[in-house]
Amino acid sequence: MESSGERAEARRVKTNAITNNIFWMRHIFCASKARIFLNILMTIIQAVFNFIFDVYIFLIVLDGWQNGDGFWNICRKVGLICLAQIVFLAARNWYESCYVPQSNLRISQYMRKLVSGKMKEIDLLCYDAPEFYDGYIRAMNEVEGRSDAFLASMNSFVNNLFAIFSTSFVIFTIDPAFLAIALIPLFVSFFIGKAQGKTRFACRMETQANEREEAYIRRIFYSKEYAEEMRTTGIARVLIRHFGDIMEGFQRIVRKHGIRMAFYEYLDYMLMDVVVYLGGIVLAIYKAVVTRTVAVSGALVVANTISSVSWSIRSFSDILVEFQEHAMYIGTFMEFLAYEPRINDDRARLSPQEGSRLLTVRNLFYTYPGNAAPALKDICMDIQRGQKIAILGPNGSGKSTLVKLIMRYYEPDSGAIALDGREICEYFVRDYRRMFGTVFQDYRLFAFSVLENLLLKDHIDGEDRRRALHALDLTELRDRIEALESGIDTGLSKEFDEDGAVLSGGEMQRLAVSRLFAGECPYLIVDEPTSALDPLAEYKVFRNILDYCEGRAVIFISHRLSSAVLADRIYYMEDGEVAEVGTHDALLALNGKYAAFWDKQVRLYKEGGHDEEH
Amino acid sequence: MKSIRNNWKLLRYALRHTPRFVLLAMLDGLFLGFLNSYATVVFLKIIFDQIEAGVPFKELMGSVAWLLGLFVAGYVFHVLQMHLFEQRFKYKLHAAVQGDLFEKLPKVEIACYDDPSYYDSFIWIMNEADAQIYSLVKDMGTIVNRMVSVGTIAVLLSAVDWTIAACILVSVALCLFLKYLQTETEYGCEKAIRSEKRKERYLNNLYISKDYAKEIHATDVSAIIDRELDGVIAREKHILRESGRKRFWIHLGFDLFSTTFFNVGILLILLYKIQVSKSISLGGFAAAAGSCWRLFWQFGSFADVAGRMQKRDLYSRRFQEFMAKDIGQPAAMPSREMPQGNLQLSFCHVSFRYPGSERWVLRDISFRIDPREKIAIVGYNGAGKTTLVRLIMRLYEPTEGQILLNGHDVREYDMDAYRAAFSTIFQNFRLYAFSVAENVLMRDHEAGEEGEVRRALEKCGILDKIDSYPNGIHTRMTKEFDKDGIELSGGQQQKIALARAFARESDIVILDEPTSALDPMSEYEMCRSMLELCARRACVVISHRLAITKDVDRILFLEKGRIAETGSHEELLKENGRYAEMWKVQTKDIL
Repeated sequence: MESSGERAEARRVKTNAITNNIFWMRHIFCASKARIFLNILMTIIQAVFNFIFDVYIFLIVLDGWQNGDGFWNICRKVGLICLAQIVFLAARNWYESCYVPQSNLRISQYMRKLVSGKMKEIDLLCYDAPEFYDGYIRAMNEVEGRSDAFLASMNSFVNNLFAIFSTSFVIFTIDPAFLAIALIPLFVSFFIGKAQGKTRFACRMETQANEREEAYIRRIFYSKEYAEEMRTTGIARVLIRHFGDIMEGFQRIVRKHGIRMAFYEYLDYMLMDVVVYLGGIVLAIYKAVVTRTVAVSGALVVANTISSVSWSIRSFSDILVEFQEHAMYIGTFMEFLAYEPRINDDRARLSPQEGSRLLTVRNLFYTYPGNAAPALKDICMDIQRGQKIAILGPNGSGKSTLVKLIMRYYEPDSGAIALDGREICEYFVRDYRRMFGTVFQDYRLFAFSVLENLLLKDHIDGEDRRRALHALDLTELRDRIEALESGIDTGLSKEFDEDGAVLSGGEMQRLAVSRLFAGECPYLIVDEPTSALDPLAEYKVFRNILDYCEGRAVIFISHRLSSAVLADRIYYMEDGEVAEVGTHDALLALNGKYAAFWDKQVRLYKEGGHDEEH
Repeated sequence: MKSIRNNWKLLRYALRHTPRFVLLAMLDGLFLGFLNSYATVVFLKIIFDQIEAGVPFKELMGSVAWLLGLFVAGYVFHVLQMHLFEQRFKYKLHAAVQGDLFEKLPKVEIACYDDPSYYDSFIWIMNEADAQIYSLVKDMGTIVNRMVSVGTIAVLLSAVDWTIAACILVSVALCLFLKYLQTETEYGCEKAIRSEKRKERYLNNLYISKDYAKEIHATDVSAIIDRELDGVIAREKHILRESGRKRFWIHLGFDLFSTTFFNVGILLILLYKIQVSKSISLGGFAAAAGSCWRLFWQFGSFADVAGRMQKRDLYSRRFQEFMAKDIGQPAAMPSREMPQGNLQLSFCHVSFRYPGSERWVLRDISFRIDPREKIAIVGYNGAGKTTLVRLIMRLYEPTEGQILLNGHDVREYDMDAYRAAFSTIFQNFRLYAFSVAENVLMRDHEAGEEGEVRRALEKCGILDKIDSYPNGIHTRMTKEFDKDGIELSGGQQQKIALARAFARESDIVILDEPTSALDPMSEYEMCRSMLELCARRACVVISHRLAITKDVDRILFLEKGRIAETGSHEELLKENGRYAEMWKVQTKDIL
């Protein structure tokens, strides 16, 4: 194991533009089998018809007229083509209006399942590592837009390829010299394009920091959480001032890069409009009027179409750039999917038994990645089934970290945790974690039904329901819940349900604690579950937890001392170490750190306690 | 049409803030439209007519030189407009629009945040604001551009043959109508799918957000999330399928008219004219034929603009509603001067329930806070304590009864002046990703106020910690924007919050659960600080921690929205009622 703790490193996947794009194509194929094929087919046929209508029909008409063909003959030829196009239009519209929206949904559903499936495996540590977490966010956000953009790029690619070849062919048959003119931009604009790209990139880098801060300010303005402070203090003005500064910053960036970008754009226009268009026309006129090597009709066709060839060729390099960009984003996605969690079932062979008895912690050391000081030093602990353990200590002493290690959210730097004599890495992660029923300080409730919030699982049977209702009894929430519109099946919050219930802070906390009683876990971990409850409620909930403990192990983490008095054993932690161990009375007798801690609490309640020394 | 009027109102807003932007955009459109149609249509007609007439090569080059000159000179303006002027105006407009919204938002009633449909719509307004207005200005340019192009082409074509112009007009009218139908259908679909999309976002966020990570990894809740997601997607598919059929027909009609009939039909008419009736010249044919598809493309873009205007119509209406929304102050009551010092606050038979709720949160509350008096509000959960604070701060208005300040209804006072008399630290206070000084003062500050900030931090016992950072009180808080930003523990954060109350010279201090998240050491220190804070001010403390409430002048015990008991700590203990019961429970194991 690394001594500096785990690092949430994604395996560096080689990002190659071609393999990345192929990867994405393969997944789109899995998600929506016919999509890619139909996409290309439609594009090709569309391109064919575009060509026909832009160039070919024009030629038929002109040539027919110059060769003296009858009017109605020409009409007949053209008419047949139109009929074909109508059929194609019907097919294409079906594709775009009916098939594509469904296909898009299938694709995004498929991609999200990929991502969320992976997400269930990753280590909790990843959430704290910005390089990984940002990548993960990007992967999730990419999903919808990227497939669309990718398919659009494919379209442009096929389209342009076809347009280039077909129109070039026509022009070539008129006179090959014109193609040379049409090809000039290919070389020059490559360099212009690169310079533009560099400037744009620099510009984007500079604006990024500003954009983030602006997004932050906007978030504050429309977040409910900040609403009260926005109205009762002057912070809104501060935010507005910072916003003004950011806007100034943007203006400065524009001024810095604006002229250069304008210059490149000018070069671009001159190239396309002056060199290609005018040049083509001059050449056409020369050939038609002076050397008479080209028919006037031919000159007309060239004049009308040479620009489009140039633009198509030009766009081609843009499209290649698009694919590069896709590859970059797809790369982050692939990196994320390739991540191998450190906490895995590599060494797992068993599931925890029904009658698991003893959880031991030996010489545990842990430092958060990136931190200098260890969060836990040489922790030793024994937790027997049927015991009540209290872990106490000031904020930041490592209590929550210890619990996270016990639940195997992190891997210790050294030392081991064992269940019934076997190291916990020998147990399957999922089964091991299901042994613990927890209430954390930062618990979360979901916008699902109360029942689902209690049991946190799908496929609920009658037995589960009964247990859930009983759990509500123990936290005195039953009446409140059964009075709701659909009782225990009512949704929490109005997110999905107009008649959803909005519970108060204390009620939500009781619901979270009810989870303990609704699950059937042999180990309970209770971390500051009652901070929002009044003393009476706190006391009742506490009592119920204690009663429920029969035959189970409970670990209380708290800095409230009422939990300590009734514990079988107290571990007093300070600065990542276990400073003192024992029962309440034994520790008081020791007259050490715990006793001082206790004293502070008592002082507050005694008469005029805080008037005395400190 | 109404949508034109609403778009115009939005445009007026842009004109007010960045008139030059609108002007330049339209000039740019004018110029480009002219250049475009000249270069591609008029020019071709001229040249090919000249060729037909046998004009010598040198003179033909003269016409080309003209166009060259136009290109070289004219594009200068266009590129400057695109990369310099437009960008600057874009940000200026953005600043103006967001600035207006930011000024407006804090004046909106806080009750709106509880109403999900109102809330959704103002998020939407905020997010869309400048994109919509910006696209409107750009569209103005596009409209001018297209009008010039189309106008030139139409004039030219009419000169060639007016029947062509007539055909074009008919086709265009049909296309515009179909585009209108298409936009309506799309919009209807978007609306129908909006609530499903919102649910989808919520569910996906459960996977993304750090907040839910523990639950997802430790339980099977992800099975529920996946199940709900499948349901949402299925419903979305259904909605899309329904509107898909409609869109198919409308779009097919549009395509038929714009591509097949438009293009081919006109070409054949031209052919007839040049071949059979011999009524147009080669130049005329060249210009007309070439311009057909160009015209079609121009109209396509025009139709897109029209479609956007349609969609913008609804946005514009909501935007106007929001900006015009009356500030919470009832217009009828005149503003009264806020008294300086010696403030006495009283509740007279105040009852309250949240808008849209049946449940009474407060019932017949009457009490008084005298200047420099210290009271505590204590009670069970859901008893209404935080609601009381919100009413004091005029975040909500009493449903019945009155709140008086020095004998007058608080609604008579200017809102900002009234709120300035209080320092309120809410239970869920926030820290901002700005400097420590700004987080403490919570307002714009001048240069000389550093001393105040430092004094406040010292009184709360956190000055040393802040000074340990290189930039001291100017260091940014949180790591949101600065890797070296200050991250504080829960207890330390609460000290910063308390420092806010110290730094603010108000007559009344309100503290809502100031120590619930603290360990006993920190709680002890905090109590000491709080005593000092409230020395010369009136003070309202709400807490479960009866230790810190016992030293006040008077305690109000709230139960089910009513004041059940009132008196000093000793008096209430003697009464042996609910308060005494709560006290006994909390001190059972301690004393």
